[in-house]
Amino acid sequence: MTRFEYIKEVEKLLKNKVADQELYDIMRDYAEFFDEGKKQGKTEDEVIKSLGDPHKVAEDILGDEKPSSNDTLSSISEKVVNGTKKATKTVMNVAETTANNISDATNKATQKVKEKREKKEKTTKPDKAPKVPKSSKSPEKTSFKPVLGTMLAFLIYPILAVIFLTGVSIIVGTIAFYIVFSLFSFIASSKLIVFAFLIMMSLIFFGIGVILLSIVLLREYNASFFKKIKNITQGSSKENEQGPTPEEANTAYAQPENEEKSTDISSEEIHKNAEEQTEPPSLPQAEIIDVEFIKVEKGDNNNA
Amino acid sequence: MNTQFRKGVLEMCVMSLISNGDMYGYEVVQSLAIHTDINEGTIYPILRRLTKEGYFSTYLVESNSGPARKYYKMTPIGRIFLDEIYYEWQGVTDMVSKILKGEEND
Repeated sequence: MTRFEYIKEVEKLLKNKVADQELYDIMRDYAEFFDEGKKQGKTEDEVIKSLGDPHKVAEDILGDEKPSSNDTLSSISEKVVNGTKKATKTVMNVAETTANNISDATNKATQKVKEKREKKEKTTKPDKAPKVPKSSKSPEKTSFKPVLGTMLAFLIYPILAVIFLTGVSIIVGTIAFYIVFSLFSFIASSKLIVFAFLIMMSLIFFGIGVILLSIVLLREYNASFFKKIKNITQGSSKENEQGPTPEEANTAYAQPENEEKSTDISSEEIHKNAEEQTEPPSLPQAEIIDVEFIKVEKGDNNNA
Repeated sequence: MNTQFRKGVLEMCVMSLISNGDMYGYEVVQSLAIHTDINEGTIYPILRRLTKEGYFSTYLVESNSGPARKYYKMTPIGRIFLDEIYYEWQGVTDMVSKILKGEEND
């Protein structure tokens, strides 16, 4: 077999299996190889022997072409994109369910608060209406309340939400980093791809964070935020009416203000509102029960 | 030896050689042939594939005697890739030597 026959044989085996440009390139490489061998004083037969069977050579080339097409950057990026699509889907599902849970919880909490307030109003109104001590200090206190409410709503809650979401995205991002790194180190892709992917992931998580934040805040604001502000202002004026003396009214104010500085969003806040609203009426209720008890006792005595 | 494993090791050797300086195909084959008994036909597919992956760039140099030589030059991405597989290789050899030492002790 001559050099010409050998190259022709390889060309025949590769024809229609690789692109023309590629085939030309391969043929050029083997021609160079033969020329170099010749320069080193090797005969054509020796070079052919060192190259091996043309079928084997063609197989090698084709075998190397195929996995290379599987391992190319585009296929890797495809895998990455598919992976992120799945991840974002699951994350979005989780986000939706949590958002639903949160809104459900807030709705329940607000309902409870309403019920409690209605009960309280029924029990206290007839007794407390005539007493109404209008202390001079109370207007200043009530004017402070809405400011606190707006600060909570527009400053503290968003900041807390951002911090929380950042934390979540950092945790998820770290987990994703480890998964991706362990996966791609086996495929032995370049570090650049991994870093590009990480940047992509962090951007995606940042986006998800922003979406989550907006969903939560929108729901929060629409459902209960304005009601809450109303509750804070109205509740304070009502409590003010209930307080038996000016001093007691002031102390009753000091408590809720401290409590409102505590951090968690919506539901806890509402629970605390509920607690502070249930505390004051305990005194008047006891009085009512006592009166009724005495009446019943008298009635029993009369019967006897 | 497992052909896939052999191919991977050969790939790393080729990259390591070219990272030290631009080389043409026959030079690579010869440099490897000094150390090991390889099938010279397998080197060209490796060179082509690594070029296709973007780890090498090529340029032709006309020579006075004979054909133009195609030189292979390592790209920055190729260098990163080589660093990575070199790091992995270190891990593998460490592990294997540890296991082999453990067997000797038993």
